[in-house]
Amino acid sequence: MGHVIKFSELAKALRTASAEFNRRLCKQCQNNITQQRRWFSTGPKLFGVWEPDGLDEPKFGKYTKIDIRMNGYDYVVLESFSKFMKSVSTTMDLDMKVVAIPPRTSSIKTFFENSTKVKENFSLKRYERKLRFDTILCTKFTIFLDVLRHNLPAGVDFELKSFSKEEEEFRFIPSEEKLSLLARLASLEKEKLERERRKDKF
Amino acid sequence: MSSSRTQAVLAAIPKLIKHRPSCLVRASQHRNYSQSSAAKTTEATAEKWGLAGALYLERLPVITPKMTRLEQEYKEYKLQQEVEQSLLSEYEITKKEEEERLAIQKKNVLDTPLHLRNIPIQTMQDKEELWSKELAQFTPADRETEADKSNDMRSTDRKLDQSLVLLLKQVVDGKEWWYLPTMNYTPGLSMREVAEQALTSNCGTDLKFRVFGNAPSGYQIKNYGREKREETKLNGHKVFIYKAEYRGGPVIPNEDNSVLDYAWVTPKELRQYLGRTTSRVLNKFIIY
Repeated sequence: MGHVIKFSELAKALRTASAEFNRRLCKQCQNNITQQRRWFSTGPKLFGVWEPDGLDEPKFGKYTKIDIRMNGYDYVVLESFSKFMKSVSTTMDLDMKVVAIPPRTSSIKTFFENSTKVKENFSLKRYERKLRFDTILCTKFTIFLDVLRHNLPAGVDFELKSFSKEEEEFRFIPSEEKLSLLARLASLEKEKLERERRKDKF
Repeated sequence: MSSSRTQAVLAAIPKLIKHRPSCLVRASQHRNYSQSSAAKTTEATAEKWGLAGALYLERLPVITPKMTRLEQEYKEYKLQQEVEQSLLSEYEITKKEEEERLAIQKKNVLDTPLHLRNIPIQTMQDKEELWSKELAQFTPADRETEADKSNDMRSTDRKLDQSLVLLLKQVVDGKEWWYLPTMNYTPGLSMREVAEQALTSNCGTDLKFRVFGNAPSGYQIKNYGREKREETKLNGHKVFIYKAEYRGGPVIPNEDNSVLDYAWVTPKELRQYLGRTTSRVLNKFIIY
């Protein structure tokens, strides 16, 4: 090899070299070997071959419908951590949504020994946040999980799950009016059926 | 571009491309010119590499890291600001009233104003004594464990606020060297399975761990010297490193595979065990 060409400059070198090369050939060879850019949409060709960009890019698999469920009793810590993970996902160019789930309250009572007298009464709320990915590249997901695991604060658990629709029911507050109307309708229909049955008996 | 440089490049191209210009003309006419023959500019000898999979087993930190001085000072400043700007709570108001009452009672009992005459059953002082007794019953554990004090490199109880990595001491070619658990690639398995087996075969099957993802987190290329190249007919070997989380279980070094010793090392201490190139490779994907 005569001259050492840097790989990063190879494309540029080839392009300018092709122009120089072109000059030294006869006209027939010029037309056959190197074709100048004819239309704006097609790029310049060298040795009669044109390859569009993006052909040899590796194809990575994608994970679909992933939920990272984060739980905690301390709301402040959980909320600030989910905000942090949101900023991480925007810097990594990931399509992520943070979904807030209403807290589940539980009351804990401690009793005196051998009696039903209540010593202490705690009411705890378990807050929940979901980081939802519709699709994400497999390689980026491992890195995202790495960042999450290493920065997980004290008091927050996380769980990896695939997205399921049944769990979504908990998020929505049922409208009392609708439920009561539906119940009334059902009872009215029941009465109607009973009346018809009594008529048939007679 | 200067003419000398273009000349140099142009002079190089025919040497690289083993066809003469007439061949190129013929080829373009056929329109069957594939890019692969143009790309045969590299050496005719194919490069062969030995493949191996390694596992970076990490025990995540157990306790929260210590606050830096800036964080500590900011926290105290903010706390003080919050206290100064806030209003008194119910508890603080009743406590204040109590103190006033005690001070007045010392002077004259009958002169106590009306709003201070209602004496609660349990005074705030008594409550505070109860609470401090309850707190004294709970002692938090030490941040530094016994393993820290005795510098036991084999235990996972060391350095609870940092992550630990498993390193194995192996004998390769007569020399002892520290490295991640590695195993040569066997065809038929995926690279991730090779890495997992690297751990189980060298450290026993009682170890519980979890690898995340099928793609490696890092790689290391080692070129062989001339002697070794002729001996093994390989240019070198490439190691693909997978990251895993340690979940429990003991490390039992497998003496059959010439594993002499093991150590749980923090990422900052890695440089003492591994060479410069290896630690540079690992630093690319370690999260401190």
